[in-house]
Amino acid sequence: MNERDDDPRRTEARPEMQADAEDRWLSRMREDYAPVPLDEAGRRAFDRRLAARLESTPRLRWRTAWVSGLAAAVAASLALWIGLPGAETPEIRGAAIAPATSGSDPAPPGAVAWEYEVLFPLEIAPWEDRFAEDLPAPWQALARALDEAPAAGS
Amino acid sequence: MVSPTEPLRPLAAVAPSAADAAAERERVFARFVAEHRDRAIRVAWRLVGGDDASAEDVAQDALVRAWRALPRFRGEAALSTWFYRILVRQAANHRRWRGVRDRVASDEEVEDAPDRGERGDPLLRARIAEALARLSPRQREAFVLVAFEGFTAADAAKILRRREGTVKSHLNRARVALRRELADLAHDPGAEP
Repeated sequence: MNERDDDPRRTEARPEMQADAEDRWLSRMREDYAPVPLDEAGRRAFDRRLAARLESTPRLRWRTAWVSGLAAAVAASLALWIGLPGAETPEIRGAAIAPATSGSDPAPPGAVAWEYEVLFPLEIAPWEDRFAEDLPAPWQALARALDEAPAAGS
Repeated sequence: MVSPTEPLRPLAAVAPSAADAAAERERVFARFVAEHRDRAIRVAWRLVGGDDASAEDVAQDALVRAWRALPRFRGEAALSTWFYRILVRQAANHRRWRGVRDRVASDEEVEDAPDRGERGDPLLRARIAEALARLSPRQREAFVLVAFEGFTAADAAKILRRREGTVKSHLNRARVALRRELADLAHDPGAEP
């Protein structure tokens, strides 16, 4: 064991010295890290400013203004994006899916979306191409007659 | 007579009519401002990092908020505890939004508090401010309230809405960190090296 630690005078003095050092440290912190106190004129000015703020109605604070501005910008961006002619929403037209069209760019009647052509080719292919060779002769004649007949209502 | 440091009864109980309640509220608040103005500015100054104008702004904001919330004050705690809770929260908001506010404030007309000059060694003050800024917000708040301002750990716990043991723990960690960074302040200037 260290000889110096065995000295009773040293061990008794240590907490006291530590307390002194702690007090000194804290007291210097308090003294050096403090604002210059308000003088009488400063107090009056502070009270005047406070009274003016208490009497005024709450105004839009900078943070509220900042958030409001951001929300308005987001809303404007959304409105602009939705209004752009390139932003088309598909809509179902009869049996096919066709892109929504604006007045300046009408889609040809009967146009079929490419997705539909890929996904449902059999639905789009003419009827006789699909089953013609499987039908007996009388039924083939009937099917041909139906295909050639004008559509109802047209 | 209502003392600002004593628990305040709900104003409606003190003054039966609305006019009496308003008069009582003004009286209590005026006394409170007169008694706590300097301390509020000092606490705010130490919490926001040693800036006169910001400290006065934070103290004013806290007083304005306290005034508007006074009718809802239920008297469950001392008025001062309630007010310093608002002040500490206001100072935390000020620190959090400092960067954004500085950018926005350049476009606004702001009535700055007058410059009150400096006190003590500016370099040492800057060192202390930097060391405090490196603490966590909770450690900084506990240290400023207890070590600098002399609140008891129990009062600080009420102000910060934390358990007393938690506040003591934050206080101890803050003290250890600050002693490590600012150990030279403990030397006795009159003693031999």
